[in-house]
Amino acid sequence: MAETLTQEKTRTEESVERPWNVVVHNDPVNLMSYVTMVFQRVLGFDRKRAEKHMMEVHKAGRSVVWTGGREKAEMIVQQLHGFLLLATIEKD
Amino acid sequence: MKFYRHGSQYAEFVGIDPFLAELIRQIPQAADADDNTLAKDRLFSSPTKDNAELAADWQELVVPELRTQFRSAVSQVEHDLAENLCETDVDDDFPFRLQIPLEHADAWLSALNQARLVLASRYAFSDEELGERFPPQLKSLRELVLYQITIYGWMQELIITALP
Repeated sequence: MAETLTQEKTRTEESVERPWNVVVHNDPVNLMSYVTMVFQRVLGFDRKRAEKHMMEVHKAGRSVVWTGGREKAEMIVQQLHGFLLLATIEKD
Repeated sequence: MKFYRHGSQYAEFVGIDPFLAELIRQIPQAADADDNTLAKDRLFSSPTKDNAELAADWQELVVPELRTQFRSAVSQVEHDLAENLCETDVDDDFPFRLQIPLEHADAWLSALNQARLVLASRYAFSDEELGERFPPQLKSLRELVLYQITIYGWMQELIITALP
Protein backbone atom coordinates (compact mmCIF):
# COMPACT_ATOMS: atom_id res chain seq x y z
CA MET A 1 0.00 0.00 0.00
CA ALA A 2 2.73 2.41 0.97
CA GLU A 3 4.61 1.60 -2.23
CA THR A 4 1.54 2.35 -4.37
CA LEU A 5 1.04 5.72 -2.71
CA THR A 6 4.68 6.64 -3.25
CA GLN A 7 4.51 5.73 -6.94
CA GLU A 8 1.34 7.80 -7.43
CA LYS A 9 2.86 10.76 -5.64
CA THR A 10 5.99 10.58 -7.80
CA ARG A 11 3.92 10.43 -10.99
CA THR A 12 1.86 13.46 -9.90
CA GLU A 13 4.98 15.49 -9.11
CA GLU A 14 6.51 14.65 -12.46
CA SER A 15 3.37 15.59 -14.37
CA VAL A 16 3.38 19.15 -12.95
CA GLU A 17 6.10 21.16 -14.72
CA ARG A 18 8.09 23.22 -12.29
CA PRO A 19 8.41 26.85 -13.41
CA TRP A 20 11.66 28.37 -14.62
CA ASN A 21 13.41 31.29 -13.02
CA VAL A 22 15.29 34.00 -14.88
CA VAL A 23 18.31 34.85 -12.74
CA VAL A 24 20.52 37.90 -13.22
CA HIS A 25 24.05 37.58 -11.85
CA ASN A 26 26.39 40.25 -10.56
CA ASP A 27 28.95 41.73 -12.91
CA PRO A 28 31.40 44.37 -11.68
CA VAL A 29 31.50 46.09 -15.07
CA ASN A 30 27.83 46.82 -15.69
CA LEU A 31 26.77 50.09 -14.11
CA MET A 32 23.98 50.21 -11.53
CA SER A 33 22.07 52.82 -13.51
CA TYR A 34 22.42 50.71 -16.67
CA VAL A 35 21.14 47.53 -14.98
CA THR A 36 18.20 49.47 -13.54
CA MET A 37 17.38 50.84 -17.00
CA VAL A 38 17.54 47.36 -18.54
CA PHE A 39 15.18 45.90 -15.90
CA GLN A 40 12.69 48.67 -16.62
CA ARG A 41 12.88 48.09 -20.37
CA VAL A 42 12.98 44.31 -20.59
CA LEU A 43 10.85 43.35 -17.60
CA GLY A 44 8.57 46.38 -17.43
CA PHE A 45 9.52 47.08 -13.81
CA ASP A 46 8.84 50.51 -12.36
CA ARG A 47 11.95 52.32 -11.18
CA LYS A 48 11.56 51.31 -7.52
CA ARG A 49 11.22 47.60 -8.33
CA ALA A 50 14.04 47.76 -10.87
CA GLU A 51 16.35 49.35 -8.28
CA LYS A 52 15.37 46.74 -5.67
CA HIS A 53 16.39 43.89 -7.99
CA MET A 54 19.51 45.75 -9.11
CA MET A 55 20.59 46.14 -5.47
CA GLU A 56 19.87 42.46 -4.83
CA VAL A 57 22.14 41.55 -7.75
CA HIS A 58 24.79 43.93 -6.44
CA LYS A 59 24.70 42.75 -2.82
CA ALA A 60 23.62 39.10 -2.99
CA GLY A 61 25.26 38.35 -6.34
CA ARG A 62 22.03 37.28 -8.03
CA SER A 63 18.35 38.07 -8.26
CA VAL A 64 15.40 36.11 -9.62
CA VAL A 65 13.70 38.67 -11.85
CA TRP A 66 11.03 36.54 -13.51
CA THR A 67 9.38 33.13 -13.03
CA GLY A 68 7.20 31.22 -15.48
CA GLY A 69 7.24 29.04 -18.58
CA ARG A 70 10.48 27.98 -20.23
CA GLU A 71 9.88 29.55 -23.63
CA LYS A 72 9.26 33.02 -22.25
CA ALA A 73 12.12 32.62 -19.78
CA GLU A 74 14.50 31.92 -22.68
CA MET A 75 13.15 34.93 -24.56
CA ILE A 76 13.77 37.19 -21.55
CA VAL A 77 17.30 35.85 -21.10
CA GLN A 78 18.01 36.54 -24.78
CA GLN A 79 16.82 40.13 -24.33
CA LEU A 80 18.95 40.54 -21.20
CA HIS A 81 21.98 39.14 -23.05
CA GLY A 82 21.23 41.64 -25.80
CA PHE A 83 21.88 44.30 -23.16
CA LEU A 84 25.00 42.35 -22.05
CA LEU A 85 23.71 41.39 -18.62
CA LEU A 86 24.76 38.02 -17.15
CA ALA A 87 21.49 36.08 -17.03
CA THR A 88 20.58 32.40 -16.83
CA ILE A 89 17.47 30.28 -16.60
CA GLU A 90 17.08 27.61 -13.97
CA LYS A 91 14.31 25.40 -12.61
CA ASP A 92 12.47 26.87 -9.64
CA MET B 1 34.26 67.91 -20.78
CA LYS B 2 30.63 68.96 -20.40
CA PHE B 3 27.44 67.22 -21.41
CA TYR B 4 24.20 68.71 -22.70
CA ARG B 5 20.91 67.34 -23.91
CA HIS B 6 19.28 69.29 -26.71
CA GLY B 7 15.56 68.53 -26.51
CA SER B 8 14.67 65.11 -27.85
CA GLN B 9 17.06 65.39 -30.79
CA TYR B 10 20.59 64.84 -29.57
CA ALA B 11 23.00 64.84 -26.67
CA GLU B 12 26.33 66.58 -26.86
CA PHE B 13 29.73 66.29 -25.21
CA VAL B 14 31.68 69.54 -25.53
CA GLY B 15 35.10 70.73 -24.39
CA ILE B 16 36.81 67.43 -25.13
CA ASP B 17 40.60 67.48 -25.04
CA PRO B 18 42.59 65.64 -27.76
CA PHE B 19 43.49 62.76 -25.43
CA LEU B 20 39.86 62.09 -24.52
CA ALA B 21 38.85 62.50 -28.16
CA GLU B 22 41.31 59.74 -29.05
CA LEU B 23 39.90 57.45 -26.34
CA ILE B 24 36.40 58.10 -27.69
CA ARG B 25 37.56 57.32 -31.24
CA GLN B 26 38.80 53.97 -29.98
CA ILE B 27 35.37 52.73 -28.81
CA PRO B 28 34.78 50.49 -31.88
CA GLN B 29 38.28 49.02 -31.69
CA ALA B 30 37.95 48.47 -27.92
CA ALA B 31 34.64 46.65 -28.44
CA ASP B 32 36.21 44.11 -30.80
CA ALA B 33 36.39 40.77 -28.98
CA ASP B 34 37.30 38.61 -31.96
CA ASP B 35 40.86 37.78 -30.94
CA ASN B 36 40.15 37.12 -27.26
CA THR B 37 38.36 34.05 -25.96
CA LEU B 38 37.63 35.46 -22.50
CA ALA B 39 36.06 38.58 -24.00
CA LYS B 40 33.99 36.53 -26.45
CA ASP B 41 32.83 34.29 -23.60
CA ARG B 42 31.72 37.36 -21.69
CA LEU B 43 29.84 38.96 -24.58
CA PHE B 44 28.15 35.66 -25.44
CA SER B 45 27.63 34.13 -22.02
CA SER B 46 25.79 30.86 -21.47
CA PRO B 47 22.10 30.99 -20.53
CA THR B 48 22.48 27.97 -18.25
CA LYS B 49 24.86 26.49 -15.73
CA ASP B 50 23.86 22.85 -16.15
CA ASN B 51 21.84 22.24 -19.31
CA ALA B 52 24.22 21.23 -22.10
CA GLU B 53 21.45 20.87 -24.68
CA LEU B 54 20.18 24.39 -24.07
CA ALA B 55 23.73 25.77 -24.15
CA ALA B 56 24.38 24.09 -27.51
CA ASP B 57 21.09 25.34 -29.00
CA TRP B 58 21.91 28.82 -27.72
CA GLN B 59 25.29 28.82 -29.42
CA GLU B 60 23.72 27.74 -32.69
CA LEU B 61 20.59 29.88 -32.74
CA VAL B 62 20.91 32.88 -30.42
CA VAL B 63 24.58 33.82 -30.46
CA PRO B 64 24.62 34.66 -34.20
CA GLU B 65 21.68 37.02 -33.64
CA LEU B 66 23.42 38.67 -30.71
CA ARG B 67 26.64 38.99 -32.73
CA THR B 68 24.73 40.78 -35.50
CA GLN B 69 23.01 43.02 -32.96
CA PHE B 70 26.28 43.97 -31.25
CA ARG B 71 28.08 44.63 -34.55
CA SER B 72 25.22 46.79 -35.76
CA ALA B 73 25.50 48.95 -32.64
CA VAL B 74 29.25 49.36 -33.10
CA SER B 75 28.78 50.25 -36.78
CA GLN B 76 26.31 52.97 -35.81
CA VAL B 77 28.80 54.38 -33.33
CA GLU B 78 31.58 54.27 -35.95
CA HIS B 79 29.35 56.24 -38.29
CA ASP B 80 28.46 58.81 -35.60
CA LEU B 81 32.12 59.22 -34.68
CA ALA B 82 33.06 59.87 -38.30
CA GLU B 83 30.24 62.36 -38.74
CA ASN B 84 29.87 64.00 -35.35
CA LEU B 85 33.19 64.04 -33.49
CA CYS B 86 34.46 67.41 -34.63
CA GLU B 87 37.30 69.75 -33.81
CA THR B 88 35.70 73.15 -33.36
CA ASP B 89 38.63 75.41 -32.48
CA VAL B 90 42.23 74.33 -33.04
CA ASP B 91 43.54 77.01 -30.66
CA ASP B 92 41.45 75.69 -27.79
CA ASP B 93 42.95 73.13 -25.36
CA PHE B 94 39.57 71.37 -25.39
CA PRO B 95 38.65 71.66 -29.03
CA PHE B 96 36.47 68.62 -29.73
CA ARG B 97 32.76 68.08 -29.46
CA LEU B 98 30.63 65.00 -30.05
CA GLN B 99 26.95 65.01 -30.94
CA ILE B 100 24.95 61.83 -30.38
CA PRO B 101 21.48 61.66 -31.97
CA LEU B 102 19.21 60.34 -29.21
CA GLU B 103 17.71 57.83 -31.62
CA HIS B 104 21.19 56.25 -31.62
CA ALA B 105 21.46 56.24 -27.80
CA ASP B 106 20.84 52.48 -27.52
CA ALA B 107 23.62 51.78 -30.01
CA TRP B 108 25.98 53.97 -27.99
CA LEU B 109 25.03 52.31 -24.69
CA SER B 110 25.62 48.89 -26.27
CA ALA B 111 28.93 49.80 -27.91
CA LEU B 112 30.24 51.45 -24.74
CA ASN B 113 29.20 48.43 -22.69
CA GLN B 114 30.78 46.03 -25.18
CA ALA B 115 33.99 48.05 -25.05
CA ARG B 116 34.06 48.09 -21.23
CA LEU B 117 33.36 44.36 -20.96
CA VAL B 118 35.93 43.43 -23.61
CA LEU B 119 38.63 45.60 -22.04
CA ALA B 120 37.86 44.29 -18.54
CA SER B 121 38.07 40.69 -19.81
CA ARG B 122 41.15 41.27 -21.97
CA TYR B 123 43.11 42.80 -19.07
CA ALA B 124 41.53 40.58 -16.37
CA PHE B 125 40.83 43.43 -13.98
CA SER B 126 39.77 42.39 -10.49
CA ASP B 127 36.52 43.57 -8.91
CA GLU B 128 38.59 45.80 -6.62
CA GLU B 129 40.39 47.44 -9.53
CA LEU B 130 37.13 48.05 -11.36
CA GLY B 131 35.66 49.59 -8.20
CA GLU B 132 38.52 52.09 -7.84
CA ARG B 133 38.28 55.62 -9.02
CA PHE B 134 40.50 56.14 -12.01
CA PRO B 135 44.16 56.60 -11.14
CA PRO B 136 45.41 60.17 -10.97
CA GLN B 137 48.56 59.30 -12.92
CA LEU B 138 48.57 57.04 -15.92
CA LYS B 139 51.92 55.31 -15.56
CA SER B 140 51.16 52.03 -17.28
CA LEU B 141 49.05 50.62 -20.09
CA ARG B 142 46.95 48.84 -17.47
CA GLU B 143 46.14 52.13 -15.71
CA LEU B 144 45.33 53.72 -19.05
CA VAL B 145 42.89 50.94 -19.89
CA LEU B 146 41.26 51.24 -16.47
CA TYR B 147 40.87 54.95 -17.13
CA GLN B 148 39.39 54.15 -20.56
CA ILE B 149 36.81 51.83 -18.92
CA THR B 150 35.95 54.57 -16.42
CA ILE B 151 35.53 57.22 -19.11
CA TYR B 152 33.28 54.95 -21.16
CA GLY B 153 31.23 54.23 -18.02
CA TRP B 154 30.92 57.92 -17.35
CA MET B 155 29.67 58.47 -20.92
CA GLN B 156 27.15 55.66 -20.43
CA GLU B 157 25.84 57.27 -17.24
CA LEU B 158 25.37 60.60 -18.97
CA ILE B 159 23.67 59.09 -22.02
CA ILE B 160 21.24 57.24 -19.70
CA THR B 161 20.33 60.57 -18.06
CA ALA B 162 19.56 61.98 -21.51
CA LEU B 163 17.09 59.24 -22.43
CA PRO B 164 13.46 60.35 -22.58
